[in-house]
Amino acid sequence: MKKYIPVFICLFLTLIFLVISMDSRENKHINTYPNLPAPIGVEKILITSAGQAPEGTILLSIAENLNLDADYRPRALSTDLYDYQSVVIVLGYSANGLAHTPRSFQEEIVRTKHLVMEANRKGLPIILTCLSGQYRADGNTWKLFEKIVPFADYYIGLKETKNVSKLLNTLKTHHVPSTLVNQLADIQIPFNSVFR
Amino acid sequence: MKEKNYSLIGFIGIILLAYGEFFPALIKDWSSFIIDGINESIVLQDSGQLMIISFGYAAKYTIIFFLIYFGSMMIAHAFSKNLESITFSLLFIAISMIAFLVFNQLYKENFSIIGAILTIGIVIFLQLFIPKHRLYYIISSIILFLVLLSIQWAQLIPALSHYGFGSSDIAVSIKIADSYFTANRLFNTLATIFFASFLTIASILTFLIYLVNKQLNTEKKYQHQEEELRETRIALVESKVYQEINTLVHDLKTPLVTVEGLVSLINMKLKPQKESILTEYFKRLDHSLDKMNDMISEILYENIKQYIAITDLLDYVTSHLGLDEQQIDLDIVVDEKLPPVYINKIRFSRAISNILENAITSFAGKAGYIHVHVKRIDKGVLFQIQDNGPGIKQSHLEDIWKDGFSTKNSSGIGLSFVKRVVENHNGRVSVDSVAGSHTQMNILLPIHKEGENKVEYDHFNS
Repeated sequence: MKKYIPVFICLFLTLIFLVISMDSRENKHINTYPNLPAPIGVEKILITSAGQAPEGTILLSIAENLNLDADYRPRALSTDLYDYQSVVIVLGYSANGLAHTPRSFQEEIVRTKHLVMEANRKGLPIILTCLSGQYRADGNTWKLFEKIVPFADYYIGLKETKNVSKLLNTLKTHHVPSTLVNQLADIQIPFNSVFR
Repeated sequence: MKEKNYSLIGFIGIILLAYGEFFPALIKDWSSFIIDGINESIVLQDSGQLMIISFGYAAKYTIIFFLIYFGSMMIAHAFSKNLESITFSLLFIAISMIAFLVFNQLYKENFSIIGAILTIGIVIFLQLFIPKHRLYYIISSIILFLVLLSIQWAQLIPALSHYGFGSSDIAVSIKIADSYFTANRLFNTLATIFFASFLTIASILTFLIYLVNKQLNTEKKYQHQEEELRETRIALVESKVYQEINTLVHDLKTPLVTVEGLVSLINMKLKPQKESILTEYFKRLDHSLDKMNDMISEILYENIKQYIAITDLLDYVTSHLGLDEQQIDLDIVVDEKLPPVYINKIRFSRAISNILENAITSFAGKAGYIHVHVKRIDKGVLFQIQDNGPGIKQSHLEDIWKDGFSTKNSSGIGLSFVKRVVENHNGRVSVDSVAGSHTQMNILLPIHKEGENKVEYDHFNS
């Protein structure tokens, strides 16, 4: 029986971490806008990434499905905004995605900050989206979120995310209207409402 | 048991662990292939391509974690020196968890700690059933590989994400893409099938290896028992032979006593003159009869001993050796001024003969030498018998003294008899041998002062 002790230790640790992971989920009823009452953005749209997660491509695909005139430039700089009337930022930190750029995470924060500041200066609407929900709800994604949210005009995300109360309170503080959807495919409706 | 080189095992373990930790830096193209593949599958809305990418993901991280965990396993083995000990398992947990945390810290991949602990737990559990023989590392590497493959697929099951599984960067990207294509139906199904399949294969493989090993052990046990039975039979036969010889030798005493009595009667009847030739003949007859009586007693009772000069003993031994047809150079050197030894002449001579005959047989007709050197060491006399025959294998050195052990299909009692006889003389016997070079038998006999063991002699002679 003694030889099974290390197996029980691993089992015990697994259960502890399982309980911790499950506790971090919040099963509250969430009230958000189903979509925007009136469009705030116009084409042509710049879809860019904050954190270089590959989910930006999904939003480009959604935009194409909606026949929106959009470019996906995940590494766009503040100087690239001259050609666009709206900015859509896809939030999500990806270590591998960032490793494929010549930038560090700090440089990514600076790029994002400059981009949203320039867009704000130009009066372009900034739509912040987070398609990763609970998957990328880590410290780095939150840091990027905090840099963008003061300048954001609308937030679209998933209901299934960690610390949803904290997220909604931050959005409320910065007077950013938000829509949280159940499924990724459901994002089409609020996203379409931004432009039509 | 063969001594293992734990330093080498530890060194290889460190190399594997370090290689695993830095492996992602060496395969950046692989990571690019995965990331680009995910983007491309989203653009093309091709879940098939996403599936191919997920194979690339599973392969990449299976290899990386295989190097890390296998390296940790070897380091833990080097430190604990015992694969069956609880220390090994605990060290394996500790080293692999530290290595895992370092990996997560280095690449910020956010790998799930639950996946790591579960992998280690399953591997430790399965390795309890893996036989710890020379194939241990090959078997455990296959099991580890299968378990890791299974856990990598578990990381891609979206339904397990709620429980902390699959939090790594690429796994998340694949699951988000799948969520967009099929609302996670594809990966909930396929990843679960792959996870269950690989885990089942690993479990069945371990179970089969366990059963095969058990069967092999049972067969070995039977073989061992058969060997013991054979040895017992030989010992029984030998014992019967000894008994027969003893009875025969004992029976010789009766006609000997009769001959002694008759010779005495003839002597009394004839009353030969003191100077006559008959008196001389009777003396020689009496002397021979006494000698024969002593010899019979020495054969029957091993504790019957007498003082004998070493040169006389060796002359007696060599006179019985058949060296005529051999190309063997027998060289006997006896140091000067050696005291006589107190021995059972018949038995001790037989013991020396056994050693010499073994040496002669080992040459198998080829040329060689046998050097016998007798010298004094402290309070003993050392008989060194060296030959340049084929020698004795290192693995046989301890077994040669056992009853029934033989490499030549003989009875295997020769050297066990030597040991018994020498020990009965309060002596020690040892062997030095280098296979292919030489063999040297050393017999050390204590020197007794004359008259020291007379009581013993008298007791058995009465």
